[in-house]
Amino acid sequence: MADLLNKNSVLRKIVTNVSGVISLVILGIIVLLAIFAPVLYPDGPFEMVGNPFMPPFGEFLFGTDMLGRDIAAGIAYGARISLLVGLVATFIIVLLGTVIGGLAGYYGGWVDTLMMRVTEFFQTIPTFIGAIVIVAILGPTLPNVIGAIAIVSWAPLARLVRAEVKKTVNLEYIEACIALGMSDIRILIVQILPNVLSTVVVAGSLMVATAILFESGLSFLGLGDPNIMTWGFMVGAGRSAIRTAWWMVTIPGLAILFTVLAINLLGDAFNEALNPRSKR
Amino acid sequence: MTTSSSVLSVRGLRTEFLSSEKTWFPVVNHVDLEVAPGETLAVVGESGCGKSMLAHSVLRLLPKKISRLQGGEVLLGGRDLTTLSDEKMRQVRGNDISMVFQEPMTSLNPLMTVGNQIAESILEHEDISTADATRRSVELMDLVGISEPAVRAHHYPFQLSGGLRQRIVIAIALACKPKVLIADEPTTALDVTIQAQVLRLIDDLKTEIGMGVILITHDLGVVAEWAQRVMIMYAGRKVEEADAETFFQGPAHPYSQALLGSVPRPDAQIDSGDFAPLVEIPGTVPPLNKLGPGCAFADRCAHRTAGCTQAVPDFIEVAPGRGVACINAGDLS
Repeated sequence: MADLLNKNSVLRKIVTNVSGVISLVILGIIVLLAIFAPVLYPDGPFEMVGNPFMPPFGEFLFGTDMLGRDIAAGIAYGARISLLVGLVATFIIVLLGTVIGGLAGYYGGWVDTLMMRVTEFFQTIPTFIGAIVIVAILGPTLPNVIGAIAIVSWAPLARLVRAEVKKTVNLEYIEACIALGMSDIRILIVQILPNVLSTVVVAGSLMVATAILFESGLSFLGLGDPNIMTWGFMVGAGRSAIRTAWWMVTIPGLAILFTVLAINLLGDAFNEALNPRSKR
Repeated sequence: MTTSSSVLSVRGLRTEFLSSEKTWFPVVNHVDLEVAPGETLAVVGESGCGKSMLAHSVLRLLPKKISRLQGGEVLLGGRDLTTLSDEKMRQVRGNDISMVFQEPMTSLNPLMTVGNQIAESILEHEDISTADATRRSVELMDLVGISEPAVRAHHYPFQLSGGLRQRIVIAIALACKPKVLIADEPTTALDVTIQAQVLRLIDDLKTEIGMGVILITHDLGVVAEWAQRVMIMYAGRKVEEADAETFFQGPAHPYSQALLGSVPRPDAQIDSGDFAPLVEIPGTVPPLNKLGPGCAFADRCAHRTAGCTQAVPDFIEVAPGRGVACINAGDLS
């Protein structure tokens, strides 16, 4: 990673790419919003600040919901949760997927068979329903939501990493490393991992968006942490008033849309920067 | 060669592979070899004769599922490598015995700077700091004759030419001052001028470090110039062994004679005005899993007699380091 960044080339390619710039701007706004939420709205998202059902662009930027809570505050605090869930879940997914896929691809044989059967087992679980069941059993807290998302999502990444490792492990320089007496762990981490990294970065960046969508879906269904304001919860709560107060559903919905869109665009920009041949 | 002076001695090595019909067949069959410090032993033969299999067997680099060692010993400094644990064997590789592969284009990691790759192999075997390893890697690059080593250390393999890359590969192999260097066709992928430079380099370093070199090649020109002793392999067996001078003056095995006879000699052709087509050895190496009871070379041999297809000829040693496996060898010289 250090190599990718200090060479500047990947960053530069993303900055010179139109969708890369758009995604960075949107994500920048959301990150700033998340960071400065307590400064902008020191009372928190659950505080009733005005009359219920106030339309947007009046006294409050995005109006109020049916209890008179500021929707803009909800958006700001919800951004923290969305980003947190997206990043932490992705971190766990990447860790699990890389370790399992890496070991399976490197060692092959029964290790591979065992790990891939386990992976396939997780792949057969319908992801969203799997996440609902896990949260329903363990209880709706933020760590459980993150864990549930990670558990149902790591399998495809593990397969991807396994395929990439298998491709690399048969190259002659890996044999040369074995002939030099390098240990398996060292070969995996120092020699093979960098070859897999670009794939993991691209897949991982798209995974952040998927995780955010998952979290929103769970909150929408009332399976989010009830003590935390999230975008999905806001959409779910505003649903009953959708015909009289469109903004309660639309504004958090747009927040989800733009965030996921921006992350997907960034993923594409990464893909283009790291695999220049794929888009020519 | 007496055993006491050898740094590596292989005795009766037999490696078998699993065929698609689930039967085991030998790819290296009862091979003995000795390498002394500061000596180059050339292992010569056609493609598929078991040269690389021999090298890989010594380092135990063959895939375990489809290959097995069926007897023999590989002695390095009194230790039998065939009985070492995998972990002990790993410490031998790169440290005591190093290997240089054929393709400098593919035997380096494309995503690491060459300096880091040299440093990696030092760090694997020695307990020194990264900064020291980096310094050593620059010294090694200097040793293998790379100009501006400190600058080149930061280059990636694709930024270097084939000759430079092979020098890097050699630097990596020499990083821990091995006792034995196995060079598996180190110059096959290089053009002739670079080939001479790389072989000169291996030769110089051999004397400097005092290591034994096993040079695997099919180029008899290379053998004549750089090897002190020659071992000819055919169908997994050693068929002739001699010091280089004796070998080129009078090869004893019909296969060796045929090999020497098929070397193009443009100068001789011009002198004699006889531009006859190049002599070739008829046929190909027989599949190793379908060998008959007799001498494996019998089908292609110009001097075949009735006895040749009866039994595999024993390797008869007429003097230390000089021997041949042919029942008719006495009549041929």
